Amino acid sequence: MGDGERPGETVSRRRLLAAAGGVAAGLAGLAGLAGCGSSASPTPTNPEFNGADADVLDGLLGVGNRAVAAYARAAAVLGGAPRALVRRIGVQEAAHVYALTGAVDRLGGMPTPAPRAYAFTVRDASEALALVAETEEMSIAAAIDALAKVTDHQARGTVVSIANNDAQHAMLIAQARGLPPLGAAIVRGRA
Amino acid sequence: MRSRLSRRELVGGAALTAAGGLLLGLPGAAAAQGTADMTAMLGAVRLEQALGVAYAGMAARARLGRDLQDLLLHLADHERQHAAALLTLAEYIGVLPPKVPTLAQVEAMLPGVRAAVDRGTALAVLDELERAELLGFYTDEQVLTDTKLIEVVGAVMCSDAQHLAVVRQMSGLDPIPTALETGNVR
Repeated sequence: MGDGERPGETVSRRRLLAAAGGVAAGLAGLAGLAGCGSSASPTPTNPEFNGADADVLDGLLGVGNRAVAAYARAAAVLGGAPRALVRRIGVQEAAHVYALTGAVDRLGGMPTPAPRAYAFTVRDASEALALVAETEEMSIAAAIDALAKVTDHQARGTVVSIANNDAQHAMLIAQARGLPPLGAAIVRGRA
Repeated sequence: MRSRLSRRELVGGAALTAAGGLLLGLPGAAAAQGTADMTAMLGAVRLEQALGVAYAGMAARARLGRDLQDLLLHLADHERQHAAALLTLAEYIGVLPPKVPTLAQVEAMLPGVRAAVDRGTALAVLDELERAELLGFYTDEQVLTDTKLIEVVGAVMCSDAQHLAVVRQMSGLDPIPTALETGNVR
């Protein structure tokens, strides 16, 4: 990921201001601010919560592993610009798997290895793009579902940053399929 | 295509959009979490309302070009829908509906919006606003306690992440510069 931001890292007030351009002029008015604290509250540490969080993230890891395989399959069928796009996205899906594996490990869980093979039926470019479109919808839905179950703040940050990126992938794949890039205003994916 | 806005002008706007997150950096005590949820949601609704008004106002500026005007109208509609979805839940936890600001009020709070009179400036402002919005919600997501709020804010963030990717494309930038999108990367 870019410029040193770590996945799941709590964004401090200072960083928010820096990212927004500096001084929070006019901030108080519209949003009703009256001087706020420093950063998100720390995650309560409890081994049982950590174990449950690790299980949720491990489920999401399974979805991520499937996505990596789906993009590899699609890249084998596609050519030209669509192939370049799915290869690029495939690399980001692998980064999601890496981040989730690290999160499961940090929480004391044992990441489940990816299956050796997936049964994808893809015969042409249209089916390849349909496969990855469906994959992104599943990934977004799984991440949104996981968000509300994960109690560890850092892990929740990782999950939401992955969901955001998957939503962007879904937009780019829609474009590649000749569909409008922006669909619904509330993006939940489809399980 | 780069912004002709001054840093100060951008700051006045973009910093406001970080409000959702800034509002939240608050209480650590569990007893205060309900209040933190309410405060966060009020800030989030105000933010989405303001952006809906801002984008609709910018869409009326012919110098931006038809395609960007159309995008702004689309984004304005999305932001209004975000505000409505968030408000539904916010009212459920006791937040009173805030009044939708006028364009003049939004421009007073967000000088960058007023200054976005050409295509390059408007795209730069859009990029700043969407990224700061994501950053704010990113913090929200880590401190909210109500599961419905967490889910809806997550779904709104996914939409805003798509907005950001489209704006980057239109600006000639990489739409997906990072695999973990928090709004932190230009």
